[in-house]
Amino acid sequence: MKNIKLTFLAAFALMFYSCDMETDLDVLNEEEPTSEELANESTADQLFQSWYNTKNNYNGPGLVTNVMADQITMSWGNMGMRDMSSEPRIEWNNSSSYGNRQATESYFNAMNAILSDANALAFGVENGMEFSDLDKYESLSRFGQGAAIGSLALIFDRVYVFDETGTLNDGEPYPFNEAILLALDKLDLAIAAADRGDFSLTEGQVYGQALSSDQWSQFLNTLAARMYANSARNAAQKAALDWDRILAYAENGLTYDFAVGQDGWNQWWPDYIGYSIYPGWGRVDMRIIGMMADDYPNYWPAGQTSLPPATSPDSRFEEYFEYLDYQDFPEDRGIYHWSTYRQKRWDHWLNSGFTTDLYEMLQAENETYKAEAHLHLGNLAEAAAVLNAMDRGGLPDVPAEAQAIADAIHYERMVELMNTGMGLGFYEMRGKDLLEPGTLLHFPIPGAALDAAGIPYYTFGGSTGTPGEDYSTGGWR
Amino acid sequence: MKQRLHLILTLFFAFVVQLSFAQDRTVSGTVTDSDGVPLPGVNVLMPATNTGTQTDFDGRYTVQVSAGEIIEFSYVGYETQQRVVGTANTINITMAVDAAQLDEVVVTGLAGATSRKKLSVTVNKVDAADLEVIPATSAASALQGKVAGVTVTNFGQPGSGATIQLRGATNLFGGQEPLILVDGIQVEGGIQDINTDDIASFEIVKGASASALYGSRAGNGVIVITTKRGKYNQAGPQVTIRNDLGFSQLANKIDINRSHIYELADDYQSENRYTRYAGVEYASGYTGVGRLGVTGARIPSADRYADNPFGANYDNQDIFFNTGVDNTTYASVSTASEFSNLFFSAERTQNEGIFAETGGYERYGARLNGDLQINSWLKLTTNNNYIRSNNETPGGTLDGVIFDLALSDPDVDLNAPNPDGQPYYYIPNPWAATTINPLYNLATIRENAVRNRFLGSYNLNVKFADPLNLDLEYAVESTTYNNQSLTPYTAFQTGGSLGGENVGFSYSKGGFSKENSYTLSQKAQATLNYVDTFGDLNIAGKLSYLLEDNHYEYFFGSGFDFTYQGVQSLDNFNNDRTSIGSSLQDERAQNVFAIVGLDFKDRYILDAMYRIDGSSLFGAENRWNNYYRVSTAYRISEDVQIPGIQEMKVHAALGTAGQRPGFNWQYDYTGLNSGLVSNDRVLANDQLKPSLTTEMEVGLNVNFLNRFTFEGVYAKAKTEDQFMFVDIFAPVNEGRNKQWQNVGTVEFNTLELMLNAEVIKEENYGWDLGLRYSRTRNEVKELNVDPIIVGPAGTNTPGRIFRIEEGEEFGAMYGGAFVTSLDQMARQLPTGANISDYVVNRDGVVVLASAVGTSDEKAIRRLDEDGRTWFGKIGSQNADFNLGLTSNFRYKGLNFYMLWDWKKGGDIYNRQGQWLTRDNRNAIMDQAGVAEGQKKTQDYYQSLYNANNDLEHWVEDGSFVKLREASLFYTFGRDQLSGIANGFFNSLRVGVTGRNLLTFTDYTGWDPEVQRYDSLTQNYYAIDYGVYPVSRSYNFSVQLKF
Repeated sequence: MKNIKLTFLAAFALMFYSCDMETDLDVLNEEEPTSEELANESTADQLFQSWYNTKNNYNGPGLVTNVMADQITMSWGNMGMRDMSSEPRIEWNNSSSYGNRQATESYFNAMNAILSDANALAFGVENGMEFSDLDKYESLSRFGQGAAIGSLALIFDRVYVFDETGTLNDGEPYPFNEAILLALDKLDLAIAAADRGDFSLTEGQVYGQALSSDQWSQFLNTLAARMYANSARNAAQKAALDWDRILAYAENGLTYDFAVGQDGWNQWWPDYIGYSIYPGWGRVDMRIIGMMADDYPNYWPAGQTSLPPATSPDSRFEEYFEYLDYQDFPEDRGIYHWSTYRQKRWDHWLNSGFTTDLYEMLQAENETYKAEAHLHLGNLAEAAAVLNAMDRGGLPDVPAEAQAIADAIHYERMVELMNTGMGLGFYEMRGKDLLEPGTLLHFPIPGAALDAAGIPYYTFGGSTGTPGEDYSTGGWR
Repeated sequence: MKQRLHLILTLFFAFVVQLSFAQDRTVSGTVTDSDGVPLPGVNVLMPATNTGTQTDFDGRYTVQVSAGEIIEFSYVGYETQQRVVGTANTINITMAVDAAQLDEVVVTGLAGATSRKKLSVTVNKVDAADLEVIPATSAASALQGKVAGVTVTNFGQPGSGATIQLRGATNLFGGQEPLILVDGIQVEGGIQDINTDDIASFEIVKGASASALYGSRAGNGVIVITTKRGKYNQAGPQVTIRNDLGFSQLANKIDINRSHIYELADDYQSENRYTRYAGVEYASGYTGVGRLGVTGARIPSADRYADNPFGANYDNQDIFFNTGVDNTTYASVSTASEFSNLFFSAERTQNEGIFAETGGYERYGARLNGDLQINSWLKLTTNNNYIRSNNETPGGTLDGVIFDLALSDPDVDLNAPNPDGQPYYYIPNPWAATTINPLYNLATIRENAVRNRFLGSYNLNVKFADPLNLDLEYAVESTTYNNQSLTPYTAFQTGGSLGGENVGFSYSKGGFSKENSYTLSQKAQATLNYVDTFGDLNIAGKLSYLLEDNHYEYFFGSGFDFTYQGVQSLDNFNNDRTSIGSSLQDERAQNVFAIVGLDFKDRYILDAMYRIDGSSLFGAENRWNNYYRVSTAYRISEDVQIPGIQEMKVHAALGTAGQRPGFNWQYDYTGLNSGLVSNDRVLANDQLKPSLTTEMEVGLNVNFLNRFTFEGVYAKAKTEDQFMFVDIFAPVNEGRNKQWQNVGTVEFNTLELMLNAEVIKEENYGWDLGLRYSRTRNEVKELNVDPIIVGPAGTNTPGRIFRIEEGEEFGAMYGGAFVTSLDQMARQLPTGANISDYVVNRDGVVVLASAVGTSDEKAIRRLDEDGRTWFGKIGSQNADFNLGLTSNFRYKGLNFYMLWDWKKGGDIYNRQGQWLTRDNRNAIMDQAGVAEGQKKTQDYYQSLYNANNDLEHWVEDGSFVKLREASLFYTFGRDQLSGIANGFFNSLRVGVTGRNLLTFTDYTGWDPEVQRYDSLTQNYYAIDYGVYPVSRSYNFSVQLKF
């Protein structure tokens, strides 16, 4: 009997012994990387993807800028669309408690994270970190810096810049126009490294695309042209840009359409495009239809619930847009949100389960910068020639006249570039004083960041800010 | 550095010591109770030699002793007796019931088992007698209405159980769930699948002062669940079999608008399947679903009143909600013998739930509790529980299906088939391109979770040197969770065409995901117990060392666009259509505590404890934290005789407890998802501390007039070092934009009153009433960061309206408002306007007087002094008070029980009602039958919807009175059953139960009992959006004992 008890005790003791408990209180967080662990080639390889996903994110400025530009129309409340595209225009609610604050907050934070990653890599490049291809990773890290700083400068009124040397300007912000020049400096370094090198970007870096360093350089040049040309908040600022520099970028810019493959909304997120074209969501603003079609209103006529299909001399009209004879948006939110068309140009992506290519940057975009630079530099014939060499849906050639050239550039940007690069329609409208009165011209630093930094609240839009510099005093109607 | 438990092993063997003494006499005898019934299992101990035995089935014992030696007889519930061995060889003992122990004995958080009368802190007990009046649907809901200060909020979804909050909300971030122990196991995976039939008692420690013994786990209080153990039964093992069969259904439908504003076609009455509108052409053969075959746009009527009838009226709530079957079968066997007792149970529970096309919840459980008295100084207690559950989640997201149901127009036939024959037409409403048929996803997407769970605890008690004994305990909880979700190849997606027809949807090629988690929580504890008496002074004490090791790992794989139709495998996708992920968390803690309890003359009571916790969850610079309690009580009635008062005690306690941070809160980290780095970056905080709750509690207990028991407690507490996920400025933090910080203090106070009355107490009949009242107030006293808004996020951010701000209560809703008074309107008059231009309309909203009844009648947003849109407090989810009333009437074998619940105050944000308004389905919009001149336009109501902004208008009072539970049982005793099967049965109990039978509320949603979880703050909020409605259920129950 005693033996049985002792056996039992031994068995119980063994159970305790084998319970495999650990007691060390220093536990690692093994599955989530620290910032330090990100400073390597792997992060460089996804800088483009991070930037692309940030820029095009639902939680970003893509939707609200689309509707503020009267390029896409939607009266849904998401991401501030209804608030900011209703008429008359109002100021941006920059409170950290605003329900749509993620339209700028996520973008601001993520661009700063990308900048931080790119800075760590640029520091590595400058300080002998081992890279499998120094030119490639220098180009990528400088791209990350330029793209992040430039993207912040395009959207916000000011940019707090830090780079591989630390915080610049003693921690004080740069105004957007100075920040853009800093972004261009970084992009120049990226271009130089790409031109110097002989490398290729793998299909994972720009999804589904194998790009040579030459092709990458072209993209960087057009990106620089895009950022600079679109940085102006009004026509006067636009006219004062260094158009020689823009022309130089555009001359070295895209000779192909810069596509980004899609993986079913899995790791690549062109969200704002999706919501701008998804059935029941975005439609094409009547302004665009009116611009393209013969004798068709550019603003929804009172008393109508539907309009007949339109015709256009532009063959792209039928190709890009789908007629709908009913409305999705409640009339009480303003029938000026109504439209009879939606963009079907990217339906192949939608209908494929979001797996066919979309375009971050079309060659046509580069051509518009080239033409615009020529226009501002007074080279009207060259500007017209650039436009007339484009596939413009069978429209008549553009004469070498300034207004006709400007109109054609505007038309291409609003029609051809719709739902490619995020914000292009908005930048185009603000740079030409066409945004409806009161529309903000740039966003303030997000409220949550202001709170965190102890910076007093400020905002723009409606009648808040400096007229013509912070909010539009122009308009297209 | 990995360390195994050599320490425990060493300790264990160190106490395995046997001493031998010369013993020259054989003494035997019988131990009986006062009625002469033999008592088996009585401990017979000779303290001098530390040897002993137990009485056998017949109460007999035999021991070897020396003359003059003391024999001690002890048995739970009886007074211990001692006899000195004299000349007699037979010593018979009659055990007397221990009056003190007959009182409820409480053990949780104390120095030793203590009579309720001698408690110096508030610990409430719910025992089997309380639980038997109605079989509970979940362990949490079993507590409903039984203890003041315990707030139980039910989930509607089968298998989800309920949330429990003890006293006030203490944590801004980190949740309010108390620490729950089941038979010593610190339960990590919830108690929703613990079988309530197995539960013998709950001990509820509501406040930090009482729960201080549990240190940094116990800031939200502690609930200790003890399960049943085998009992001796003279007739042999006792078998209990019970079967409950019943059904659940939606308790209340919401009213919807059954009218619209559009002009009807002249021939609309010729069609009863859908509505034919003017301005719209319908292809011949059009059946009423989908856009195909419909051209043109509807024409709103000039008056813009929603008073036109639909051509068809389907009751979509009837179609969507089913009657679900509930079935529970339970069996247990209980027995005890001289050296052991055993309890075995098995159960199967099925709750279909009230959603159509969804399987619901099934659970299978088995329990084996066994105790072994190995010898007189060594006792092993074991608890083993295995549970397997299958739970089918409604297809797609709960948000999605409920949202789409609520928004479905009444003339849309949700039952119409798709063109390819699949049930439930995908986008049935030709006028709502984004509203998916909610039944389609229920029927098509299959999501099923299987959970396998084992809970075991093993305690070895070593009585090695009286009055000391040692408990060595090991407890383990192991859970595997497998969830898989299948969207078939032929499931639809929006966009595209089907069979060449432009129906607006197409085959998605499907998707499939599997996820798996494994949780292993282990606890090892060594506790030295001391109990002694010196004259009138009783002393109890404990010294304990506790190790915790929790391990969690998770992985998933998913793919979309099946390569081969019909093959349900993660291998059936292209590489670039798959994603995988994993996570890993380890938490460890080492804790030491000491507690001592003194009572002098059974009336002056003092208790003190100290605990030191070290946890891997604390920042490296604050790895060790200290907790304490001092409490005292005075039993006045022991010193002062007050007429009519049998017992009166005052008590007071001061103590601290805490909550631990989450796993990754102290680290510098960023998310990684299939190789893609997140751009949300979190800055490390090595100073992160547990939040610290300090509570002061005073209480009064009175038993009076021989039939009333009163308990009143007032607790005042503050929780410092509150956690918060704080925004930091990314440009100066190298891109990091968040950090977990300790940011401030929340104070709260609670008043709890309980009154039990044995209104009638006769042998054959009786009536007991119980009242439980509690009220809590809280305030954010200090906040070191800017105010923030929290609440349930997700699609359409349904509930981020709860503002955390210094000076404000936690639970305050913030948002905008409409102008509701002319005074306010006068303060924000537009230029050139006159206040006489405005009136307050019948909804209490200020509008232009000239616009009433027209489409220009619009609610006006309230502005602040600066002319900006006003933003302020629009409600509070905190109840004014909760009151529970239980009534239990018995007459012979008959028992009738009711639980009424009254929640006064506590607002709900009715986001569902607001969304209904967007789609013109809110019942307030229905103008059919409204007198001319009284009608309001759709535009007016849309101004109330206001693009889903957070508005005071949609805050509703969540007060309710509910008949939450009622049961009627009849128990046939052994005598009544003697003629059946030769008297084989001991008892038969039959009855009916009902839940949520009556609800009195002004709330307009399905049910005022709504809560929605926010994963960031880990708190629940009163947001009605995507919430599975609480159902009404009826059950028939039969229980046999033999």
